[in-house]
Amino acid sequence: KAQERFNWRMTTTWPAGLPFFQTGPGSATDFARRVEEMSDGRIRIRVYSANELVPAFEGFDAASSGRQVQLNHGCAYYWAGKSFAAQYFTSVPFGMTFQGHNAWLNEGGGYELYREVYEPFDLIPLVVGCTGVQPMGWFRKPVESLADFRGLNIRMPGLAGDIYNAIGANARLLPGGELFAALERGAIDAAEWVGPYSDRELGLHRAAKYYYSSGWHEPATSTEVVVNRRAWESLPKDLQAIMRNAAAACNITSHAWLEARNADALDDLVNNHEVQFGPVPDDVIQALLEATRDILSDRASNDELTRKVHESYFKFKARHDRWQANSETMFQTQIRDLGQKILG
Amino acid sequence: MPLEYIALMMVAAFFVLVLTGIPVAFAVAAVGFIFGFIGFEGWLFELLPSRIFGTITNYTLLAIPLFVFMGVMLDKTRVAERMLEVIGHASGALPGGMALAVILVGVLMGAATGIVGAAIVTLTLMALPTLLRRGYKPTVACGTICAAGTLGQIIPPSLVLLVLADTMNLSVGSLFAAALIPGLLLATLYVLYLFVLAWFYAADVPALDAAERAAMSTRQLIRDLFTSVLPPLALVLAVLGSIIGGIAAPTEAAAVGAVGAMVVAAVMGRLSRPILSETLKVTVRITAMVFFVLIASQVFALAFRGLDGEFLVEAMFNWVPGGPYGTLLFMLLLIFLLGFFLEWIQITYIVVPLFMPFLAGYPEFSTVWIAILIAMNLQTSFLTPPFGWSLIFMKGVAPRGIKTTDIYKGAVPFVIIQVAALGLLVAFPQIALWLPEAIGW
Amino acid sequence: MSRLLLRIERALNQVTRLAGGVAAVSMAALVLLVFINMAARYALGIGTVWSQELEWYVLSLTVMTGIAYAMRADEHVRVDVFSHHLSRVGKLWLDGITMLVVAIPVSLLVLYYTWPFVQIAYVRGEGSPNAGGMPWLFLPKAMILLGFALILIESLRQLLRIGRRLVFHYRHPRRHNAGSAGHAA
Ligand code: NA
Ligand code: NA
Repeated sequence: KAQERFNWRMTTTWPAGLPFFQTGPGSATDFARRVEEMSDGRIRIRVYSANELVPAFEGFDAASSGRQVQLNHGCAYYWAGKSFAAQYFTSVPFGMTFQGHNAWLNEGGGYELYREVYEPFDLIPLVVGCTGVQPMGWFRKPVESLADFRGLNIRMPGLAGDIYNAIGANARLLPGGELFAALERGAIDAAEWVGPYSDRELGLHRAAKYYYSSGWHEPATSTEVVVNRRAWESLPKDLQAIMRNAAAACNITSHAWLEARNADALDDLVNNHEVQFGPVPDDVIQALLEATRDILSDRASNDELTRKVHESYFKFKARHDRWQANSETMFQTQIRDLGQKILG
Repeated sequence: MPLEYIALMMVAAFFVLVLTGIPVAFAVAAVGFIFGFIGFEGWLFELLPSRIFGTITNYTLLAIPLFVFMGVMLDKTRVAERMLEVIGHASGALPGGMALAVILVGVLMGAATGIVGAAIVTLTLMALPTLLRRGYKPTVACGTICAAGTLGQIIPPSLVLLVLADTMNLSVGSLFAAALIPGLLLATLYVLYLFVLAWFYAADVPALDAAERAAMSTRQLIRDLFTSVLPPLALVLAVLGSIIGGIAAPTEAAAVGAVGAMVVAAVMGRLSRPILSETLKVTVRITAMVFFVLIASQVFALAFRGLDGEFLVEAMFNWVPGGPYGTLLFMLLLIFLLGFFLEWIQITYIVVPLFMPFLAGYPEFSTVWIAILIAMNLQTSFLTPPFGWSLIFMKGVAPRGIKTTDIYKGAVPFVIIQVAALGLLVAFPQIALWLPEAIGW
Repeated sequence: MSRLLLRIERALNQVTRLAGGVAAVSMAALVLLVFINMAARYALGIGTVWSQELEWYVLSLTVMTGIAYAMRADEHVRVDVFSHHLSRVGKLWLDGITMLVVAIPVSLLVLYYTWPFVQIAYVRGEGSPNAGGMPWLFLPKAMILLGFALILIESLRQLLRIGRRLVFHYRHPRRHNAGSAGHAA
């Protein structure tokens, strides 16, 4: 029994070769490789990129039925149409960053709720990656005030799209392949993708020059692997532990990898590609915050489970914010700035 | 038996079944199901509805019915037909002039409709009897019409480019921009060929006789050019301009084209309720059949994956010598050969995705360039006897006196020209890449 | 018996004719919808997520009702290099066999695999993943069921018609050229 072997299929929501998500440290293929190595080949996971086996957003259902596909790699907010609460496990607009988000998941009851939300789908979630804070996005024209958002065509999927609509913009849906072209040609005025490294790979700096920060809409985008429940339960305890530990390792590895790449990429974009990088005016943030508050509280009251997740998240956030204000935030402002002056 | 062998047998069975003459959509689905059940007891087919759903709700493919509507509308209102008459007269004094007019109209119809079937049928019904009456050699007349009618496949907007953009995850706009010059290059090569023919074999392509030319005054001709050629031309420029110029997304521009075609027809006094209803019906039929083949191909594609067919392709590519260019030429050759039997939809939807991982391994190749090479190659497959679609369409509507061999023989010089154009594209990628780069795509 | 079959054939004929009508109307709606969405955004600066998503709801309806109608008009993409040498009766046999052993099983299989797919979307009340998007995601999914049910119906109709013609042909061998044999087609 201990030597039973598992040959599994994992679909993903990503095109083949997409760094961070599909290839490279902490990605979907890296997760499969780690699991195979740690289990000495007892679990083999064949990874399929989007459209190879099923279209990008159909892998969740495939893993849910679990007979052909046992796992899917993606982001929880893609499943908001199936269960609105899923949104919270990827990232929450104006929510917590990497540290707080992971602290909530691991120690603040987040993981338990995550499992509860996916229970009807017969899926077990594992957090496997984090992009860190994403930028707000690329704009063809400078943003000087809230008025600049009126009628602005912006490529923004999910909840953030609704929030932009609430402040007067038009959220557009576009396939990934059209993103660069649409922005470059002006069919849309603004777009967001992942972060400096991934955005540069897509060439967005050649399409627009105003790059705004910081990503209020996705402060800590987490990626997930969902495992079919029956497949999960068929695993002996040691292999379950291997899966969990491979996920935890990918989570930290992917974040570390992208943090390093983003630092280089941002320097390159600003120094070599005439990209204007900076914050948006306060009145924009103010309006976005108010819209987020209204929309989130409205949607959270829609169903019981979302309300529960919402309350858990924001209760944890309030507590964690107080600690972070006196640790991370203080360090990043007062201590770091002084430190840079003296230590260089 | 290893699964890969079953995959190989599946491909062979598909060719056989298609040749019996049963509808391609049913053949591709049936073969997929049968070999899926033999190879893996069919369990993978549970994923089939997801794939079908992905096809019928695809944003890029949404442009297909809109472009088809635009083309059918211009065809049914006889706007395209009128274009041919006027241009034919305008180029009448030249030996081979009428053939040149056919090429020119092929370019215009290609840009306006892009529906090969409609273009071939219209050109054959309109131009073939005229060409024959004026003493054109039947093979030359047939070949010219087939080649001209097929230009719509490469000249944007085109369904092939739309489906390629979807499968290769490229922007429709950049593919359209990249295909424009190669398409025009091809048309130019056709024209050069006709000039050469007129020079050496003037009797094969006689000029319009003086009496017929005298029947229409120059003033009348100029007026006709303005009223019959200019409106559709303006529509084409508006649609292509707004896609390539980036004013609108391709699907939106297609909607403008569809509505614009109605406006052009109305302005020319040809829009009526029966014509609108007929246009809708024909559009539905063409669109539904393209999608039916796409949907049915999902069964085959899923079975091919389930039978580890991708390892077969991998083994094949590893075996090919010659590095990146060896791989590229091998792929082009394979598509050319498949083009004898398969239709562009299957090639772009099943075959191309299997090749992509290998070509993605060569960053020195631009994906846009590869896409245009594939499109140009598919263009050829329309004209290769015995199964080229253009030839089959033409045979369906040609006058009784025309033999199948006339059509086959006539197509051969144009197939050679196409292969030459493909060679030029391989040697000089800038033919495709210059325009998109110059306008900053 | 043959009376009953003829009546069934006529009823099925009505169904695919209706499907063709629905497809044509929904095709017109599709053109207008995409055009209006575009015009509204460029001219008036307004656009909603649901109206963009509605575009592919309508596309799925157009396509899936259109296939049976296109089959009816025999718009099939096919390679008839060999089959066009067949006699009229030979062609009838080929088409009849295609319907019986290919078209009908294929549509039954697709229906079988699609049923749970639609059912799950319906039971879970799935909607758009985009906020402000369309509800009832099961609707475009159910179009696959509708489409293949119509393909099945059209295949049955063609099978009945072909069967009737073949019976007529073998009963009245001298009149086999009478194309009017298929008076109900
Ligand atoms: Na993002
Ligand atoms: Na075209």
